[in-house]
Amino acid sequence: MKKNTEKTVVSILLGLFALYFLFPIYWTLTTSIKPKGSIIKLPPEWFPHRFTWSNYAEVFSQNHIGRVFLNSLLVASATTAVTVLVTALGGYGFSRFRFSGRNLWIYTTIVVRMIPGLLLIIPYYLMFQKAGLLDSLTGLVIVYVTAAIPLAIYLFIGFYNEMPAEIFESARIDGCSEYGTFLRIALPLVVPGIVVTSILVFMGAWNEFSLSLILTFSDDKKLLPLAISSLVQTQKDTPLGTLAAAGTLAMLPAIALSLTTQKYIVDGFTAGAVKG
Amino acid sequence: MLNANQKKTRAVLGMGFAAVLVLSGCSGGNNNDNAASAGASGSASASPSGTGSAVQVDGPTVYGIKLQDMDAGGTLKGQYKGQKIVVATMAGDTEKALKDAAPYFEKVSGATVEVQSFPAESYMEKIQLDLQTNHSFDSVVMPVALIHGYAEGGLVQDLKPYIDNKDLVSPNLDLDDFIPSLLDIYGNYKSKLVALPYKPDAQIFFYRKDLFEDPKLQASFKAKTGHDLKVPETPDEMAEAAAFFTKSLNPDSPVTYGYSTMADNTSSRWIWTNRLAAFGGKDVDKDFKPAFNNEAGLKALQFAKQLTQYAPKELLTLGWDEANTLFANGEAAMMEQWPGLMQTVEADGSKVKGKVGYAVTPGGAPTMGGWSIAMTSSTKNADLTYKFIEYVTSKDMEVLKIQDKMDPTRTSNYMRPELQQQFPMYQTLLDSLTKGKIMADPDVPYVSPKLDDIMEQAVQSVLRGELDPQKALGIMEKSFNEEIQGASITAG
Repeated sequence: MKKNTEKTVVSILLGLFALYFLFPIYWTLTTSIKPKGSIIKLPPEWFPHRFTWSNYAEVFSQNHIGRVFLNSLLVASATTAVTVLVTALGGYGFSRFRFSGRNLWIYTTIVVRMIPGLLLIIPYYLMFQKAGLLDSLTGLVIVYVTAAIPLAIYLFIGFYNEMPAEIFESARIDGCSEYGTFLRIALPLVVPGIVVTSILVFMGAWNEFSLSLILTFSDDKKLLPLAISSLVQTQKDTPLGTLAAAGTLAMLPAIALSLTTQKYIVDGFTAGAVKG
Repeated sequence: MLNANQKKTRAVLGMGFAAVLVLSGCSGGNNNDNAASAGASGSASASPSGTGSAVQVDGPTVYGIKLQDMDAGGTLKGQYKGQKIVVATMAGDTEKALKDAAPYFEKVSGATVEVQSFPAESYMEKIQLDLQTNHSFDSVVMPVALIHGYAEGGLVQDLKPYIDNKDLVSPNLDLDDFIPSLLDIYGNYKSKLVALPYKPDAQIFFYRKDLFEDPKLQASFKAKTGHDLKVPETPDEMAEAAAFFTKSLNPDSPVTYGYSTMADNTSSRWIWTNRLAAFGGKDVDKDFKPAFNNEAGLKALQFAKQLTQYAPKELLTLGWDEANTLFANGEAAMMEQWPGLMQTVEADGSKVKGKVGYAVTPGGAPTMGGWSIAMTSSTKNADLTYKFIEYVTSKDMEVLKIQDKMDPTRTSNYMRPELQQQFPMYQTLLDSLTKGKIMADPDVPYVSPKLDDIMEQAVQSVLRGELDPQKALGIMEKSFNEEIQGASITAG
């Protein structure tokens, strides 16, 4: 009896949380397919009575969201690939080897993470101006990788620390080199960690706004958050349908990633440094 | 171990991902989109040669008007071939208007124009940063107060030397055709012409035509007030009509509120400034000294407070979308707003479609907004940039930008019968622009946004009933003086 009550309460709470988190997504989705006249109605249309794809057509034809989407995908993917490559190795080194200054470097890396990103915008701008990297996607990847490395290193150190030392010792006894141990033993075991880190880094780069605003100029180099933000208007009506269509498209990678990598996410969050 | 299906799925995903990366790597610039679209509405009969031979561009027909002056009076002959300019502005209609005009200019000048735009919430910081450090912009299209700030800092340059250059200037420039108050307020700064007007704006008084013309309501109004119900021209008439249409004061009112506007903490000051000049005051004088702590300022602020009795309770939280939606849903009889409200009330789904009239704000001195176009001091293509500025503000090209909701700044365009017929609000807008005296943002270089904040805090406190109007004026004046003195700006 008590168990049933507990179950009901938990279910109600979970239902409420689900509603709280899913309603904005539902509202964005439905707004994106509502005709313009149905969007600003009072009382609001909770369920769309008429459907239209014109908002999507507009966002592709007039706002070139396809090009912007690909820019974001390229930058976020490159950032993820480089960051994971560097930090999977770096984290392994920090976790497995004891060398002088090890703690200093770990703490330094974490301290860098604590510097508010906004403070770095102007220095980045001036450095990139000299280096000719302003208004380039390569420049953005460099900045995003720099910003992502501290967190990713921290995560990987936790993932590798969870692995029993005996596994590595056995590998060495069986004749594995350090690189062999990393490639054949550590890397396969840390796959859930790679997935979690990749998602965090990818989404960080995917959603980033301030740096891309300052460091890029032309339409060809715009990323999604910037393009979506450009749809918001002052002293005229914001095209809410178009904005919702762009927002829906921007959500796709997050939804796709969470659905396809759910198993790894659970493993990763319970295995490494991100658990409580 | 992975089974065969999983391996296959991953392989497909991997290939798809690689394909996307390759595609995105190939997605280069697409600056020719606009050129293509220009080709659809107008056509060039010869390519720019760069040798000075004429380039014929057939102008498009817009709103029934065939655009004729497509080569700036014959001064654009493809002579700028190989040169490029960058024009910066806020994303949205301004950007679109510039992009629509650019292909025509490119065809007749031979040059390339890149329009760069940034989101509404952060374009100011971005553009200013570039003006001070990177110098990649040749021209900027910005709100007037900001352009004047750039002029004070030497970031934009005087256009007069270019206008005086007979070899450069278009014979069709006709500076006198700009609405005089616009050219003066938007363009002139300390005896220099630092910009040309690009987008005019003035607060308009919108009212429910169907209610004001209803014989039953007219009779009821006459019985209650002893006056005829007419579109208010003075603050007193406005207050009387607003009280009549407020349901809490008159249960027979067909609408809930007599008056509405947007009055969140970025826009409430305009309720005050819409009357400030009408009572003979100003925000700042020519020496950048506050000019509102006087009888005019007090009367205007007291009147703003009075209007809140007839307005929605949530007035101080209403932004653009909320205030317009409320009016479009038929909740209010009168509203002061920028001209863009008309799009909302005439949209499908609006309950007041075809029922809204417009007039100059009561008192006859509306607050003015406005954007102008200027040339940066750092441009390396000054002549070309000047020609672009002249081109997009020319009489004919102004008609083209009306499509992007940029109203004209030239008197002659307001007089065109085709436009008067299709934009019945234009006469009211012209009257408002002619009568406007106070800018939406105080025209004080560097500190204009700060002064906006000071006004907002004081006006909001008064409207909430937390501060006495006289006291609020004193606080505003003191804060204005501190900010302006702190900025060390010299009088013009």
